[in-house]
Amino acid sequence: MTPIDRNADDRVRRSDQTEQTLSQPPATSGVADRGDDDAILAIVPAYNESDSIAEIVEETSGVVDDVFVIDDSSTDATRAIAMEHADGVISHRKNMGVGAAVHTGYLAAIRRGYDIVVQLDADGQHDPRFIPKLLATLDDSGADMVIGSRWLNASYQEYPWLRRSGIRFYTVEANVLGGLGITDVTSGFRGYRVSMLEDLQRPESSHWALEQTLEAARKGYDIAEVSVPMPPAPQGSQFDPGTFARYPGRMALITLKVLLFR
Amino acid sequence: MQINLINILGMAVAVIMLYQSVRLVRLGRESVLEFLIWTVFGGSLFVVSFSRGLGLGRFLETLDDGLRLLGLSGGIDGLFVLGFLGLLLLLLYIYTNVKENEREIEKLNQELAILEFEHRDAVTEDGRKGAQRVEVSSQDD
Repeated sequence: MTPIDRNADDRVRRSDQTEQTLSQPPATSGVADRGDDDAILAIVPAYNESDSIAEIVEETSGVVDDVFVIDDSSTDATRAIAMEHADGVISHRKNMGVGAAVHTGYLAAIRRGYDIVVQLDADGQHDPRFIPKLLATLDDSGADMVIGSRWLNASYQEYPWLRRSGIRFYTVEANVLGGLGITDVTSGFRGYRVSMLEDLQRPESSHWALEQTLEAARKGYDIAEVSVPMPPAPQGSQFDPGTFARYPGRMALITLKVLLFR
Repeated sequence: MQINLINILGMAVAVIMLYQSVRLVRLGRESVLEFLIWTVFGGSLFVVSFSRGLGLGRFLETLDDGLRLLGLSGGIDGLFVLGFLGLLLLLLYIYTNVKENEREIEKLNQELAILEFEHRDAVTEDGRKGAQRVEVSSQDD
């Protein structure tokens, strides 16, 4: 059955906890409470995040089996700090962008035999305390991918209108082309079954989230969403009008790529 | 015989292209196909520059007739159109090769990163095992 054949409501399952407050993550304590034998790896793509990487890794370590930092050729102390805190640090010799960094993390997870991958940003935008909620949704829904959505709570309102417009635009596109009903396609806070990652191709560095979601949907994988408060990155967004202006062209290329070749 | 500066420049560029093609093939940095492409470009440029400059025979007039047979307006304009089409093909060829190389480099970069990590991990594991062995043997003592 192709995703187009399915009802969007069947394809997208949402956590009941959509009214999560910003300051209170779920009470579940993570990997210890799961009661199954799934090996869980958290991957943290990082580029020049020396200020936040230690805290992110430490907080994440408590709720997953292992944490790997994918250092995308940082020029600051990110790698050295990550080496002290993470279970593994994989360093690109050349900066290749976040799409390549997450893909390197997937490759490592596949080769090391993990069952579940959780992915979160290194800048502090994604609160590791919500990982158990992500994992619980993955378990409960039986989905292949779960996306943490800032649109299922009030945190999206903290973003500039230009960025909100961009996110909404891409989300509508993913919903139309992938037969989905999600609310936040650009979120990088995600959980995956490794069996699905093995079947996905390497995404482009720009708009990897859109590409990955579209490809997964068109290949018939189930995608769930869960409410995760996600305030804008503490250091400020790299999103500007110039980035916004480049979006249509890039989006058209990614869309064609997925529609024609995947 | 009338030789203008542009004819000399054309011949010079053609000679450089031909020389570079031969040199790169000899060095193993260019395939035979690439050699042929550049040689055709260089050779064509040389012939056009040479014949116009020296007024040899009716080469350009013959070229005009040939271009008209193809439905082109003939003359230098037609030659430009053909040259442009040739350059487009060349651009496509070069672009696809560059992109392919870029993808391969990125794959290698990923592979290298993972292999380095696994190697480091294996060394650390060996270190731990070594430490355990030392511990056990010191207990035995």
